[in-house]
Amino acid sequence: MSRAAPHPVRISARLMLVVCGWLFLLQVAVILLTLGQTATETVGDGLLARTMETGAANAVTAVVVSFRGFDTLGEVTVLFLAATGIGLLFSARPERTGTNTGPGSLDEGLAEGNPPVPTMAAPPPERVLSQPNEILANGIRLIYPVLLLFGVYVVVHGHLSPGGGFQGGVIIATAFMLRMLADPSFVLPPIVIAVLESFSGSGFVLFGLIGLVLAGTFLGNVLPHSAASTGLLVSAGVIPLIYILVGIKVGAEVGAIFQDMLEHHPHQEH
Amino acid sequence: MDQILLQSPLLTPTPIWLIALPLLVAFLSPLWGRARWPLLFGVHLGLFALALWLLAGVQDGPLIETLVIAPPLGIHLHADAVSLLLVALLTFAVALVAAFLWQGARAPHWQSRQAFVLIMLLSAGCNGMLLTGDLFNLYVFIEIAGVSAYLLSALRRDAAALEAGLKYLIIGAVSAVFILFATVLTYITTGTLNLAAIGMAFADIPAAMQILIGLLLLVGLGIKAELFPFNVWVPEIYRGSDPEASALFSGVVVKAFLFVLFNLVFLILADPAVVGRWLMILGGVTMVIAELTALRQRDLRRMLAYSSLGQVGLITLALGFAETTVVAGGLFHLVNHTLAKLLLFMVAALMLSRASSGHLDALTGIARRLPLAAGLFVLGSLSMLGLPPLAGFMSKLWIMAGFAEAGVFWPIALILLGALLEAAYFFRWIALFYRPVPAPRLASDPVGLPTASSAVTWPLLVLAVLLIGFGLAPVLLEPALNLAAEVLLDRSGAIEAVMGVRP
Repeated sequence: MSRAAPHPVRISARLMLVVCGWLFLLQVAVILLTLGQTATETVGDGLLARTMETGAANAVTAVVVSFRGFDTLGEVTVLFLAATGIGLLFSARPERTGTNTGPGSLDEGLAEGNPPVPTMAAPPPERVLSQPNEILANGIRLIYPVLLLFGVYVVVHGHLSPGGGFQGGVIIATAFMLRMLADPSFVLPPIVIAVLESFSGSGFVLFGLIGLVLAGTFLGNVLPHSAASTGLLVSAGVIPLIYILVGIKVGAEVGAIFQDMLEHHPHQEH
Repeated sequence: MDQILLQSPLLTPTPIWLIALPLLVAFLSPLWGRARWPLLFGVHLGLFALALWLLAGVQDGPLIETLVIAPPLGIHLHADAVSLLLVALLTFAVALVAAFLWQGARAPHWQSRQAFVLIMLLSAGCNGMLLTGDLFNLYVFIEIAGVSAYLLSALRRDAAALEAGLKYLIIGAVSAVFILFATVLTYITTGTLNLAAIGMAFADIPAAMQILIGLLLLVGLGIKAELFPFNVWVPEIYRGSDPEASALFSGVVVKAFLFVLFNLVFLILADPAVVGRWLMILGGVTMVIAELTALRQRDLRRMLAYSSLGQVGLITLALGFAETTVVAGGLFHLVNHTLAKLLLFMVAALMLSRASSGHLDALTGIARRLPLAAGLFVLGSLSMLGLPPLAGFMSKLWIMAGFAEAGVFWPIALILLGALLEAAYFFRWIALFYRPVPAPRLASDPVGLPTASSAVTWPLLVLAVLLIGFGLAPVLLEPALNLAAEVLLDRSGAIEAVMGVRP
């Protein structure tokens, strides 16, 4: 019969394991079944034959940022949603009221860039993190600038060599994560993250709309992208610019995800 | 260059704006501050107007918008009489929910920037699902709409909301895996991702593979479109989420998935009769089981969730028949269900802000405190179960008349049975709302949120007027719906518009 009270349904880890295992086996079976059934002529080949038009030496980038740039905009949006969600669920602890009408505690101040007001009646328990040891701190001090530079290199050369905005952005975020491990006082300011997210995301859409106005299609390449300049750093028109925006967005958001998932909230320590 | 500038797309807007504008506004969310809710409302009203304007231009054939390179190599948007009709409906629905939240939502979790971003992206994702002409692009938009929906259901962040959000996330991820499998297999076997090109190539791949892809899509989309037996998760999530969020799930997200499911069936299969028959059976079973279960519910939100499942089953039953009159009726019922469910869920939001819970006992006699809301609930539920002169009556009549014309009678019996069951449980709740209660219980107004202004009721009144208006004068919608049904069923026309050859 219908249950009046909220019942204690737990999603058991074993059930999840079974579901995931079943899906994995299904995938393996499907892949084995389709061996030898592949189509002879695919859209991939057709796109590959036309990558020269974009002026990008890296054919993958030509497809990801130009031909299927609309998908990439969608994927950037999914990442934005994931970062928003993790920020929403992890950044401050909800009140454990259990009633349906009670107001949740939401750090609206954080979103606006003001210091968040502690929402719990009792002060948050002081978590004394053990200080990072000497080797970790010094090692990361050495590797941090190199890693940042490498990330920027991978982003900026996305149209020339393997890599690009997603890969380079994650490298940059990894550098931030290592800094957080080595130095508990290191903080990515939420206001800066929000500004970078907004700037890069809206910049991507604006490039699309500029393409719509000047080149006739959304995300059309409006800057010169002659095949003659292929291989130079300044080539391929808007492709490197869009990939730099993607790099900024991925770096800021993955960095913010790491920060939100840290168990202590850095802002409550000042 | 001059010529291109003269016919600038800024002056003649294209369908991409229906997706790009909400994305842009969502990304710029830190700029808007307190203007968020008016902006959400205004943007969606603008998108609604744009969709109507575009709809007027696609009476003779679909509008194909190329993105970067021409289909079938590139991604394109396929704006036709049915997809634009649904975009118009869904943007209108989001605009009304935005107006309701702007005027009525005082809870802090609805005042946050995140709530604005999530609703904006939910709408961008649904518009993308309706408009895209590419299978992988469809998957991307399914993810955008899906992730926004998971987060919206967890937005309140108490135990019930978090449980709902977690369950929605898990079931949504499973569904996405199925859809992704189907996408991968389609690309491996046909070598293309363009929906029209897949439509041409699908008949040539081995029959076993066709069945496998079809089943994967059925499970993946069936979970999202809330069809039996993939819909057991729905009531738990609607119960844990805020009614405002449930209104968006039931009124917007499910409708977008229903369109995707049937668009794929009618576009890819040369002969949709067999699959359509199975979908009709699924729809009928969904309807009967959901309405029977709704009878026993003692929580308002769970009851509305089961009622929503019942209506989705009815729409599936009608669309699966693949015959113009019945499909037009099904689309009409889809419109009516969106309007009526938005009304019912928003009334539920008002009631829950004044009652201690959504339980039957807590809502007894609520009509004394919220007379207008209770009256609107009566109107919405009467339209839902199909009483003249309301819109739900007209759409059920269209569907049944279409079935009778075709000489198929078992769906008519099922629809009448469903309406009977709906009458049973809706009248039970209505009787309860109007039951006189002893004075002391009235006085104990629970410690709730600050009461909303009376302006909160105008989105509800707009819905009520539309339900009555479409019921009295269905001719307002008739040409658009008939054309939409023809376009939805016209496989060769849709393929020809993209590929240039008839299949």
